[in-house]
Amino acid sequence: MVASVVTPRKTSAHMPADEGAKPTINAIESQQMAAVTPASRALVKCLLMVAPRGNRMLCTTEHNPLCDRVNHPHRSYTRRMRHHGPDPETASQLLAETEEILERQRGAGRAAFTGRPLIAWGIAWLVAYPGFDFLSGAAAMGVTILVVIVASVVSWVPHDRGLRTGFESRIRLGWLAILGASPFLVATVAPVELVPYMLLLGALWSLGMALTGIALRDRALTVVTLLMVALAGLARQQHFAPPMTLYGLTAGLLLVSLGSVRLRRGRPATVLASRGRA
Amino acid sequence: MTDEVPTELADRLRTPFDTTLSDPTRLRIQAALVGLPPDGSMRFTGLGRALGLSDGNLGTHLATLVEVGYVVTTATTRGRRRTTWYSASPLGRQAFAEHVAALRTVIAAARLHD
Repeated sequence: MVASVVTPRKTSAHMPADEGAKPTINAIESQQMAAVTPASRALVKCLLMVAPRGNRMLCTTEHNPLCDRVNHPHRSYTRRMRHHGPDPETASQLLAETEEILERQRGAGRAAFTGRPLIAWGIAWLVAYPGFDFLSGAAAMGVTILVVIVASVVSWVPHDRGLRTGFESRIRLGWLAILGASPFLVATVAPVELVPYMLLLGALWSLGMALTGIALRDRALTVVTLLMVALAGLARQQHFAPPMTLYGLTAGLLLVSLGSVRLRRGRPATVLASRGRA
Repeated sequence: MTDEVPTELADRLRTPFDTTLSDPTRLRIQAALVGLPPDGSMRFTGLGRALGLSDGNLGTHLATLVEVGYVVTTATTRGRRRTTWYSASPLGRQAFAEHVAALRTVIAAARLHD
C-alpha cells in the first residue's frame, strides 16, 4: 500500500487556471506531493495514519511520487475503487474477524480429526481396563475386543464432515502399523502377566498418539498422551489401587475430556457477518 | 529523496493490500481455507455453513478466488456422488498473509499516531 494524502479542497485552490476547472486527481496529487516534499518523513507517517479520515484519501497511484521515493512497484489497477485501504477501525475489525475465523477453522480441523476418536478411545480405556480387574478373563477380553472394534470404527470409518485435513490416510496407515505390530512387540517379552501386558499395550498406543500429536503439531494431544504413558508406568509401580483400574480411569478420562473439548470448540458455527466493510 | 524515508516505514509502504482480498467476504472465505492444515480442504456446503453465506454469494466469491489462483478445487467421487473440495493454494496463503500484514500495518500506524 502506497499512498498520497490528497485534500481536494485545499489542492484545488492551488491549481493553475490553465489546467481547467476539473483537475485530474493525478495532477492534484503531484502538486500536493511537491508541496509537502520537504516534510516527507511526517508525510509518510501521516498518510498511513490519518489519510482515510475526514476528506483525505489514502490511495495508491500509478504515478505517485511517493512510490518512487520508497521504491514501491507501481500498481496498474484502477485507483478510485481499488486503491483505498481500510481505515484503522475497519482494519481492526477485519483483522479481529479474520483471526476468529482462523482459530475456529483450526479448531474445526482438530475436532474433525481427533474429536470423536478421542472420546471413543477414552471410553474404550474406561471400560476395558477396569474390566480386567472386575470381570473374569474371557468376559474382560470380550469386552475389550468389542470396545476396540467400536473405537476403531468411530476413528477410521469415513463420515461426512464437510472438511478434510489432508493427512487422514497417512495417519490411518500409521495406526494400522502400530496395531499390527503390537502382538509381536508383546511376544518379544512373553510370557508375561496380564497386568504388565495390558499396561504395555496402553503405553504403546498412547505413545503412538503422542507421535501423531507431534507430527501434527498438536500440543494438547501430545501432552495428554505422553501423560498417559507416564500413568501406565506409575500405575504398575503403585500399590494403593488396582493398577489397571487406576490407569484405565485416569487415562480414559483424559482422552474423553480432550475429545469433548475439541468437539465443543470445533462445532460448526456460523460466524457473524462482518460488521466493518473496507 | 529515498534517504529521508525511515526504512521501517518504507518497508511497510511496500506491503500492498491485495485487491482480491480487499473484499471482506473474500477475505473471510480465504481465512476459512487458510485456517485449515496445508493439505486441508472444505466442501462448498461446509464453507457456507461456517461463514453464514448464501450459496449464490459464496459461489460468486469462490469463483473469483479460483480464477486468481488463490483457491484450488479437487473433485472426489463416491458412487454417483461427485464432491468438490476447496483449499487454499500456496499463492493464496501468501497473498492472505501479506494482506493481513498490511491490515496490521494500518492498525500499528494508527496506534503510533495516537
